[in-house]
Amino acid sequence: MSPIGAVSSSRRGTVPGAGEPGHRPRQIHSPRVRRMAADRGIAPDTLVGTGHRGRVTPTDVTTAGEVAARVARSPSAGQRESLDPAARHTPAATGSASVTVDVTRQVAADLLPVVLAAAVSALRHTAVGTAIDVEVTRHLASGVERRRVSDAHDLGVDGVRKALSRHEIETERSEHSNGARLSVHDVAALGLHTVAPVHSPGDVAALGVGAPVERPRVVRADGGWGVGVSTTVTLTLVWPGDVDDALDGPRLLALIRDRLAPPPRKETT
Amino acid sequence: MAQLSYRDAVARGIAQEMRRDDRVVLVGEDVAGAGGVFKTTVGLLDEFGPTRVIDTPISEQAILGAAMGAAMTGLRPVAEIMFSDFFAVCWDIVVNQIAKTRYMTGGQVTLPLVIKTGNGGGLRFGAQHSQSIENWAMAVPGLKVVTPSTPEDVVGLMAAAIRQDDPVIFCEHKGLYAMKAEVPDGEIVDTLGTAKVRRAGSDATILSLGMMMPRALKAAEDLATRGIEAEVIDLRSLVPLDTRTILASVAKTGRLFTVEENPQLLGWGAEIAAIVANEAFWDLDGPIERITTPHIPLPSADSLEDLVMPSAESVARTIEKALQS
Repeated sequence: MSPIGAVSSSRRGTVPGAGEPGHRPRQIHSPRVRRMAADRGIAPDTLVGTGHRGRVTPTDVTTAGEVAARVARSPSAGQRESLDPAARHTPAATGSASVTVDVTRQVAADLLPVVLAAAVSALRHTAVGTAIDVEVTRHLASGVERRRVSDAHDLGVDGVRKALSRHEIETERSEHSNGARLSVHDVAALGLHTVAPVHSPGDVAALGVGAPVERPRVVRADGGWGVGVSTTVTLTLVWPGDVDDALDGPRLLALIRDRLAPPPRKETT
Repeated sequence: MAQLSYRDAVARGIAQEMRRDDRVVLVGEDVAGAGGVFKTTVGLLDEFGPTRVIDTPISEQAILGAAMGAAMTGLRPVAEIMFSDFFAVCWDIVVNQIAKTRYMTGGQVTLPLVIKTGNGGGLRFGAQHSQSIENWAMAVPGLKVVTPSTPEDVVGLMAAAIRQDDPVIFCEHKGLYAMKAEVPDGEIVDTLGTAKVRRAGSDATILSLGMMMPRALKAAEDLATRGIEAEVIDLRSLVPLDTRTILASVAKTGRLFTVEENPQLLGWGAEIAAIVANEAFWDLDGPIERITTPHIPLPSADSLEDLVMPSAESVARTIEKALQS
């Protein structure tokens, strides 16, 4: 015990209200993190911390700064007014890849939140320390419906589902994002099985989600072979691909796939 | 280059300056015939004679009174207070006379006086013979405070202290007297107010001095095996203080730890923590942590003394825990 009654070290860093039901701990950033974030024009509250109990570390800030710089360097990253007029009409080079994923274990009628959560998780894996916003465009017979899920990095499947149901429909596409922005285009309502989404300025990537499809599948059961039914969905990822250090799109898509349908464990002897 | 013990380095540093300057004299209990209770002045009587190496009665006030008078009248004395704990019986002359005379005479009278003293614990000498008193001394304007941790630094800093025109409290750590290390041949003159980086690192800055320096170094080596690279700074001098080296290290690592052989309350680390909080706040990536003894007199029992003194293990444990939180 301190001879002059100083606060013991075990109480350092606590926040009033911590532990109360519904309380979301306020992120406390060290002076160093705050300075580094300010130097890079990053709001520290948008960062995802990898330190103890989610603390934002200086490395997180450095990584976020690098990701932000990479996005900013992308020719398609929100710099349209500063581009040469001739360049405005030059399609930005992009990369794309598709994969059909078995989502039989998921609820097909409510698949989108599951896909979004998997995509955010995979994106965090490739861009650690970055806040992630998701902009969802649902293509309906009556037109498009846009919703924005801010700070999606803090949400699981249920959180994304609630956010999608709660947020107001946005008529204009947002040009600003505090962190990495993923655009998602859902064409399930139109019955389309696949869509190649347009990669918009400021996006780290765009993900197209097709309608779930039930397909026959050969399965092995009870020591024999049979035919079952599996539900699949086709995902298409588009990313800016004309800079040297561009996002590793194929790896990101594979990570999304593995989160939706984990690969079977290898048998060991 | 030869192996030299910390205790022999004290005698070498004094001898180096006594050969160079006839005004340098040594006074204290048993410093002449006995070569010092801790054998730090062996050979000086033989080389320089009884007019320059002088035994005194058992009176700390008399030792410092004589030394102060000698300093005011043209000599450059080195006075020994056998155990630093005994400064408590001569604070009036140290604080009110020695430390203030140059200021109160408008610089007309200088006090080129070194008070060397056996300091620190770890030798089972008990509560009245084991204290580390750097923080007492550094609180007094007019005093300089030095605590070397290696034989080479003992020689160089002793020479630098003797060449000062201001009083210097020269703390020799009793627990290091037997320590041996290579010391270069020839004259060695160091500079007060310069810290040394004993080990470079990027994850944490550890400040230490005296016997805590080798312990901090050992802790840093242990931490390195677990992926934590700590920078160990040997302060060597608290007044003047090498804030530049400290702040540069904190700017690099973002975390500061002090390892102090004194109670936490108003220990030297408190002042440095305040300086860093003022000057390098935006470089800090976590709280400044001070590793000290508890707020109790040092015990005599070996097991208890070991328990309360910062050890390499406790330093490493504290730093690792702090960096993981």
